[in-house]
Amino acid sequence: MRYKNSIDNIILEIDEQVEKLFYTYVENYDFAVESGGILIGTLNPAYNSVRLTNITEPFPKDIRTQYEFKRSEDGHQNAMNNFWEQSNFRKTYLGEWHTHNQKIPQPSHIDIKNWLKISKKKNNNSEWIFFIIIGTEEICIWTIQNKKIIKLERIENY
Amino acid sequence: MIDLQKEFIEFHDNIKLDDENQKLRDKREILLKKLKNNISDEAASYTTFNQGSYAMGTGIYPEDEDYDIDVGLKFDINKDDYDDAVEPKKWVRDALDGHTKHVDIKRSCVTVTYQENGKSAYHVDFAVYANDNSDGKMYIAKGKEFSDKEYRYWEESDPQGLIKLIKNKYSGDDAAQFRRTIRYIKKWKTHNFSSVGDSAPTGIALTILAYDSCFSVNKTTDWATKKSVYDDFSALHTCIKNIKSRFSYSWSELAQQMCYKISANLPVAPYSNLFSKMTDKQMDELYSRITNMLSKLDEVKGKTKRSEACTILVELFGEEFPVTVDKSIVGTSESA
Amino acid sequence: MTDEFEEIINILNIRREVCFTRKESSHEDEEYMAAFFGSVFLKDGSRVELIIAFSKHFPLCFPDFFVKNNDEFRVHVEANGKICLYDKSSVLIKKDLKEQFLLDCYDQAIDILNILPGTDEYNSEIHREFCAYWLKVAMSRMVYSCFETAGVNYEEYSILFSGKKPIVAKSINDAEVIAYNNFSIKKEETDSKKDCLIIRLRLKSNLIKIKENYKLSEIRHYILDNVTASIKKRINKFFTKKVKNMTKYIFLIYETNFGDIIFGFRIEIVSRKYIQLSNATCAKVEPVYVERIDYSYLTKRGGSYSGIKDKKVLLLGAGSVGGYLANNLCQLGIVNLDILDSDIFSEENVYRHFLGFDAAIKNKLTYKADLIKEQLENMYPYVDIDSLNYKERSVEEFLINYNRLSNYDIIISALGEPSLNLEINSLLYRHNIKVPFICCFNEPYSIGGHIIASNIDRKSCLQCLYTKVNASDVTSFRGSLVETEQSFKKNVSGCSGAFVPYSCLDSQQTAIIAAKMTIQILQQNIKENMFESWIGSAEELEENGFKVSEHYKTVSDNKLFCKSDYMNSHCSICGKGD
Repeated sequence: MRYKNSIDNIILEIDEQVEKLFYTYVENYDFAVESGGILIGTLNPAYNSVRLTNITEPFPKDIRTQYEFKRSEDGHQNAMNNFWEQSNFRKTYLGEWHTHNQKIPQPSHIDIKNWLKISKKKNNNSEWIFFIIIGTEEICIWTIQNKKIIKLERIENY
Repeated sequence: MIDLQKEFIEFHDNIKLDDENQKLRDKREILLKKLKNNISDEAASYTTFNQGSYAMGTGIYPEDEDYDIDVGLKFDINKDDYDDAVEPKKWVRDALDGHTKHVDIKRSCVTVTYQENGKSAYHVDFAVYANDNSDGKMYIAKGKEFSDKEYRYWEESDPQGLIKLIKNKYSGDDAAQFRRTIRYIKKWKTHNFSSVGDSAPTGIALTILAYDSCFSVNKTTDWATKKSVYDDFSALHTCIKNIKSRFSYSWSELAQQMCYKISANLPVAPYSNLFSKMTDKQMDELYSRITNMLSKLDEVKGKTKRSEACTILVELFGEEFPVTVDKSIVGTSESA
Repeated sequence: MTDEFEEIINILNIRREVCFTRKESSHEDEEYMAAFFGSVFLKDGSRVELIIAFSKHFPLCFPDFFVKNNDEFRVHVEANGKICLYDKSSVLIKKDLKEQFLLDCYDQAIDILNILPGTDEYNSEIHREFCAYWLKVAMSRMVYSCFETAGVNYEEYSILFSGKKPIVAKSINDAEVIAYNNFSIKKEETDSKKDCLIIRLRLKSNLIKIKENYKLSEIRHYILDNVTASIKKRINKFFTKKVKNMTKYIFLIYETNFGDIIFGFRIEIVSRKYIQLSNATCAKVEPVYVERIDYSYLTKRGGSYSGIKDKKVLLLGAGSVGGYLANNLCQLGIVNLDILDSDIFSEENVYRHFLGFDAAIKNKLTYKADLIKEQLENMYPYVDIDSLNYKERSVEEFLINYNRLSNYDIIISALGEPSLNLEINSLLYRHNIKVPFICCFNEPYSIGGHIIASNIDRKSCLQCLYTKVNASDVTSFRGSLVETEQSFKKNVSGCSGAFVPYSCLDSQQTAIIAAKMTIQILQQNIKENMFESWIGSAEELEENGFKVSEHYKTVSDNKLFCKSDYMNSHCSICGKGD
């Protein structure tokens, strides 16, 4: 699955296993509580692309209700560290994902505030930070560019 | 400056191509066998040796997958008995001709080109030498089949002496850093110049620049472990800085402008200038690209983020340079 | 046996032209096999009667020489008249040459008796011996003296009385601090007066003749004869005072080559009407023994480190290393010590900490820093410890106001937390605070310890040792003796009980080197950044399944590893390279 930021032509490639994982959330959506986690992957500047290789799924310390998902550091940081070490220090934090009870998901005010905050962080390895919302029918991806929220377009495989 | 030695070593592992490479060995052996079986009875006896960058330990994977294998054929002949230097080349051409490959007599060698899926997959250059001369020296056969007579001649050559010089310049781990640095520069060249035409410097020209005092070993002895710690980035940086300062700025008659020019002579016969085939303008262009590389390397020096430093190096060297990142701090996140 | 003594005494008589004859044994001779009596003339023409006595251990021990009826102070002569011949431990007794041995001893005895007042030797020996004589006549009249004698010519100081020995100090407050800290005397139990006169005698004066009782006029004349003109006037004025009932102390300071000695008098006047001191014939004057407990005197006896009394030391961390180190520093004469530590002392620490079980079971104080303060102030007079008992005792909090780091002459971290140490290093460097900084810590399983002194010069800094050889990346301590990325923390009970296994001896070893280095830096004997590691055996470490570092392998043949030029050009704090 490939997505493109039409302004900067940055390409986000999503590994099949991650894609499958996302679709299990789409298919098994039970409306009871929200889910979420972090996006993990590698940087590929030679092709102006970023590859999403892994995600984390909810850990016990995350706060999950019907309308919100508050991700804690617990579990996610550890998982991130393991991915980083096992990948010979190539995998990095790439952003956040969460589910939303909407057919075609739209970010809430809280989401937007949160995304802007995360994108501003100085210790991000990737110039690009992505935000994925899994709706009940569709998966949508955004990134932040110059403090603006930009939705990525899906592009066909080559 | 962050420690990029691991990345450089990995990069080197990704690009290095040496004589140990089975694929190259196999291809060479097949052709040598064919040559042995098919060469005409009229031909003189010969021995073979490996030459070129693989033999020197400075070979890299080609970006266009067109592997370049260099083989030397030393014929037991006296050059004075062969007025036409192309004649021994024809023995080789004829022995290898008539197969699916394309065989061609070029100025300095006989080239066999293999194609895969309509693309040149690799080629083997056979250089033909006369090795039984009255002066004890070795001569290479120059000229194409239908060149004028003045372009068909014997030229003194010492490819094995050259290999020895490069190999013996340094020893042990120092030699390894020397070879790695040459490979980095050669990889930069193939990544930044198109492979066709003479606009790019040859690999051997860059090798000789490094050999001829541009390169110096960069290592520090760790007082704690008493071991040498190599710093390839700094070695490369210094080498490029020195290459840059080898250029001289002067008027070019041909280009009718001031140009940066460079020269480097082969340290063995025929002691020719290895940049002689580049025009003044091409050398000037090389200078600006070297300058650009240096400023990129300076930029790397100033980076504190691993991913940013690696991104610049990918730009310089291509995707073979690994992109590592610092530990991620995931923090917390809130969504609704 | 007896004949043998006579034999060698006869040889002595002939060779030295004297006449010693057997002395019938008396009560004091019981421990001797034989004694001989005779008289000799000294250089100054005086005659001295001597007794030579042999113990049953002769010639394994020296013959004893006594001055008979010893009534004046002589150097190397004990109050009972016994001449102190040699420092026995440094002389090899010639067992086979008894007569020569006796001759040597006799010659030495005569040489000693010929040491005359006013000579350098006389002067230098007084220091040690006069006080012993004085103690004898002063009997149980003792006074503690805790003022500095340097520069004192004529002063009237305070004297603090309690049930115990009186304490003389420059001020009442000084005396009270000593009384409270070191004698556990509470203020209510004391009474103080400004009643001690301190007078310095002129250089090379004659010492007073030692007696059990003196007349006041005798003392007055002795003082007036032996002081410089400048204070004579004041003394005369003092003696013109009119008094009725009074108790005064007079301390006389006598300067010797090895420091000042002090001897004192207690003067008591009970009179119905006012009389002038100089005419007070009724005054009772008794010798008083002055026990010096002033800082200079005490620390000099501990090995003499000059110039550290005024130094202010900050010690971060009062754990195992820090505890011992605090004690070492105080014992070496550091007086102004601030200790920052946020830990509570508990019983389980007893066998790895300077503080003992009694400290652990006290209820009123629980912080290590407070307990150390209490203990060390009790142990060493003058020590003034601030246990920085802020509400929040963490180092992080302390560093917020980093300027206070510049208040110290040296900062020592026994925290064992590299990130905090590096933060301090960075603060010192960035804000140009030129205070030497020592970090000391142990390695696990007795494999060694490190003491790093930095910020003495600016060629290198602590972070150089935590920076990779070829890049500015911060890495683990490069001088580590164990391979990095091994976890040594042992758990006994959950996370709070985690500790690194090392023995109290490791901490003491590290503390000793750190203390030495501290003094050397304060005395400016160490002028450049350096570090020292003590190297132990790897046996225990390896038995526990851990690995030593490459560095350990290169230094394991040594007991100590020292490095001064640890500058790293890649260092992001002090480096110039990048």
